[in-house]
Amino acid sequence: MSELSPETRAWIDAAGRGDAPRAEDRARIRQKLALELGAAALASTAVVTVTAHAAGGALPTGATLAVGKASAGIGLFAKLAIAATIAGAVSTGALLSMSAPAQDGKVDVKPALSVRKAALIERAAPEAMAEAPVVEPLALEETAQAAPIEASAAKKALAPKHSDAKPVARSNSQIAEELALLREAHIALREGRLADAVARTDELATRFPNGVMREERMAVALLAACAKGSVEGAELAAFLEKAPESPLKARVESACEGK
Amino acid sequence: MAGHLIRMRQAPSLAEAVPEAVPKAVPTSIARSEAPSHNQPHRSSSSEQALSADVAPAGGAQSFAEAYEAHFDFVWRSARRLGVPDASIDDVVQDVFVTVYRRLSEFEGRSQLRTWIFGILRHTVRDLRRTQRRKPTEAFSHEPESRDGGPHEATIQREGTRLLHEVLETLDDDQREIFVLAELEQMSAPEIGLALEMNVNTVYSRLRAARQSFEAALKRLRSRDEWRMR
Repeated sequence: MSELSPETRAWIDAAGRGDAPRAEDRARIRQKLALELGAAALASTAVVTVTAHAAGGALPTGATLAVGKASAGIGLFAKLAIAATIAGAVSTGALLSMSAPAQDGKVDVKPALSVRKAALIERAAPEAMAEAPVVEPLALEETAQAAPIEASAAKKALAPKHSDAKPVARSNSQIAEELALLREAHIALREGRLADAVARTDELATRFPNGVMREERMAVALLAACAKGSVEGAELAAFLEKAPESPLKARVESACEGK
Repeated sequence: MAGHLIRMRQAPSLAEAVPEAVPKAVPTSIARSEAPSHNQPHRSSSSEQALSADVAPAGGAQSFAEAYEAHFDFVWRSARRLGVPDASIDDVVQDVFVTVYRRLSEFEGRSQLRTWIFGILRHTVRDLRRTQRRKPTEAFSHEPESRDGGPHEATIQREGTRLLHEVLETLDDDQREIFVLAELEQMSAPEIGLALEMNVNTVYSRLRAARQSFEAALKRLRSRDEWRMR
């Protein structure tokens, strides 16, 4: 059987290194999957780990936990679910560790949670919310601090830098409703049901004009409009202005190029 | 871009496309026996063996999150090597894992999990190629980004990876898939047969042809590049 020459094999080895994904690639896809499938799908690793170590000793409030590099790539929803799981376990005295391929990141976990964070977490891991105390509405900076590596993504998702809207204290159910509608819009977009996607984003814009997922709602609406070939330049410009660092910006620009 | 990808997602479901028909065989490596290269999936510690790409978990025992962490790198780099354009790679990888999520409970462990996942990726990529042939909007290859530090090393790496993809693109779909699994992932012939739904003898004969085609194309394209740099 013919074999590749040693020189070719060595060359293939070297050339193939360029195909490895970066941490941000893994994080970005994780975030997209969390949006589409729900945070629970990607938070199960953390839940399993917590259970396995629940018999351990107590963990002081505000303790620093070692979190592997892989968790830095975890999307917003999963990250918040994990934070809530940790917060819930801290309050019940469980020792936690999170296994991951690499171990060099650290996350400071505070047991107090904002209303917004609590609502997102409740949707993903309701059992973790049983013990976690809720302190004040929209402590957005706290959310960003809890995940330093993905802090920028968390900030952008929950506290749009260029928004001039006043933060509104929302109930858990309102945020859950907003998330459910956004997921429906996203799934409709993926399945090519553009009219449904547009209808869901219109409903989101009407019911939650300054919602926590406003940027994501705008992005999905633009993707649907571009797919239909009916995007308005003003809408696209508004999104790019209001969310210049949105993780969805590149996708919107790519999809709407030339439309 | 979103339009044609949406059409891709509307293609017939992958329900009948995932290979699970051939019973698990004892792996026999058909690639070199050197120490694992960087192309191998991450080898976790013994305490995390259940997440190792070489272990076939029982159906339903591995969570989706574990499968994602264990096989993301493999899916990503395989998608690039199968020629998925940069603008489509996110959607392709996402589509693959959405299918994995929806069908993981059906995985019976008769092949390795990554073999099963490759079957999903393979069909996703072939669907995309069919869409591209109907409506070509971009080349089914791409300029890889620099992954190394330093400008000079980055350029060399980028050029090498670009040429690798270009050579792979000269192969037909079957040869490309076999070559990627055998030469870049060091998968065994029986597992390749499971992934590509062909018997082992066919795997060997097509791999032989793929190697010959690869060497010839590499020589030709290298000569072209050297001529251009005069």
